[in-house]
Amino acid sequence: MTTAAGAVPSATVQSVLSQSSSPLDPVLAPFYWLLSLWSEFLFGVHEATGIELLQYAFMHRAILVGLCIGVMAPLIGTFLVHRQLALIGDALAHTAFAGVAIGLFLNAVLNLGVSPYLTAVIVAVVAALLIELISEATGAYNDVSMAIVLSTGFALGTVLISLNAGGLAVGINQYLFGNLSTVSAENAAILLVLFAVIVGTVALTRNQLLYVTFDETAAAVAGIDVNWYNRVMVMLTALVVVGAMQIMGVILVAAMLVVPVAGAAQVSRSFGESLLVSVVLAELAVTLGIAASYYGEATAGGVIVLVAVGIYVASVAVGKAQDRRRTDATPEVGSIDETEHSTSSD
Amino acid sequence: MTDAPVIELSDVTFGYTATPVIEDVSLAVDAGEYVAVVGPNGSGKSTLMELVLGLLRPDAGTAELFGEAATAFDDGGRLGYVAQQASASKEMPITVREVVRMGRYPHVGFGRLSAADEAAVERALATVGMSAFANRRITELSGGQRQRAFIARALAGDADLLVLDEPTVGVDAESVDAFYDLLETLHDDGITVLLIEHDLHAVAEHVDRVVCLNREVYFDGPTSEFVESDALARTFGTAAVLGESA
Repeated sequence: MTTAAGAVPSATVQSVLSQSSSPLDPVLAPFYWLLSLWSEFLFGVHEATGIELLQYAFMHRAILVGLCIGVMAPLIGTFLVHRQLALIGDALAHTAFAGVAIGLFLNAVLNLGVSPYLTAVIVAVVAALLIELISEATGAYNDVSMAIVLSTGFALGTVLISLNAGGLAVGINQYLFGNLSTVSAENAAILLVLFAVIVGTVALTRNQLLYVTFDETAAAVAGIDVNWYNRVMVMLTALVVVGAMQIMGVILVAAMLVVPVAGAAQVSRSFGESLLVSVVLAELAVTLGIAASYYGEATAGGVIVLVAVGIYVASVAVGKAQDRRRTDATPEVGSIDETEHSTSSD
Repeated sequence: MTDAPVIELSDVTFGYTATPVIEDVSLAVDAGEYVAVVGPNGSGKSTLMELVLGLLRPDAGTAELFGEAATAFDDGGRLGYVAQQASASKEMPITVREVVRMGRYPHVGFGRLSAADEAAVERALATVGMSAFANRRITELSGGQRQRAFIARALAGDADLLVLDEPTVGVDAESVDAFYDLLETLHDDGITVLLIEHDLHAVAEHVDRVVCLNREVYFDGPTSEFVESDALARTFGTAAVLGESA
């Protein structure tokens, strides 16, 4: 259990860096450094606690990626779910799969050595913008256009892969179902970049995103450029989907946008609370799911989603219990004049 | 106070297809007026409202808000808007206070609400008599209470024009009266009110000036004259609409 525990920390940085030799290395260097710090920290935790799964560097990256997903997926998912746009995550995940296939194809043909997740980001963002522009032109998001985008993406992906079946078939499962052990240092670093972009953008534009989510027309009247913020939202969704694909897989990634948010909506009173609770529920699902999949030797994405659904069911029960306990003495609607004079005096 | 009318439509024509929904409509509303736009279903009332708010661009003619082209008007805090029913999903967990705080967003942009902003929110809640409901989920409120919350959102933003699109649809009769009392109080405080309304009884009882619309304007004048005029019959195609109350 304590295999080479003492020697590992110093080897960590090298092992983190030696895995990648991509054109992005100079850009990602600070994130590799963060990864190595994180890895050293978890080796320390392993030494102190003897938790078995923490002895592997690949698990350190997987856990970090999982924790980031646990924040960014429900963060974006909260805005999507409450606009009844849950399906868009699925559509974008399937177009991201086409992006992965294009990346693998280009790597095979041109030997570019670029992470397929990078091409997935590009393709998914373009698809997201297309969906949004179609919806702006037609005046509504519709499930038919999303279903078409979803199928087109997946079809394109499978065709590209089958064209190069000899060289490319290997490793496709990791994109479809996700894989803890294949999270490379480069992909983890890309995820950290996505994480920073997503959390930073939501932090900056939270007022506008909330207003547009709650009431598009009123937001437009208030001078908010609704189309612009809708575009921001779908692009952020594309980034989340690609980021989370690494361990969740194409097929299950949308669940992280939806399930923790649905659970949080059951037990939360306010929007702020629901954001916080959805992140907590997602982190719970991710950490329990990663641990269970490691010890049970099962696919992480599937286990995480099952745990998340379990948490959702529990949230529904808690929500119902809360409703029953609240035998609310309905407050009186205040009278207009008195209250106005009493408060406007300060 | 500027001299320009709060709302000014000049010869506005608009259609979603080749057939205009609104044709050659002119309308000027001055600061402090209380105006209702009435008309049968499909008469273009809501379209007129969207043109006024700058959500639609006229095919012909001009629409101005506070002397600026309505579509270019960007001082969102001056406009308060109350829809028929909020477009939010039923399950969205959001409190009354969080909704009212949105009224301050045009003033704070990307920033956080200051103590002064929060004070304006509390004041608006008190004005509409909803302080006790501030921490309630908006979905738990009755129709009348919810519309009060949306008025509070407009007041929190210091709106000086309130535009309401059939605000009392689905609201019980008792709350409707209280709601119109609230509008009257706000009007007395100097807020300009444009009300899109199907309830002619309410209009006859509460509003100063009526605009009767059915693609074009059939009547525009004091409510007392409207009740006695034949505009109703010409707009709605029947003389019996107000029969019971007249």
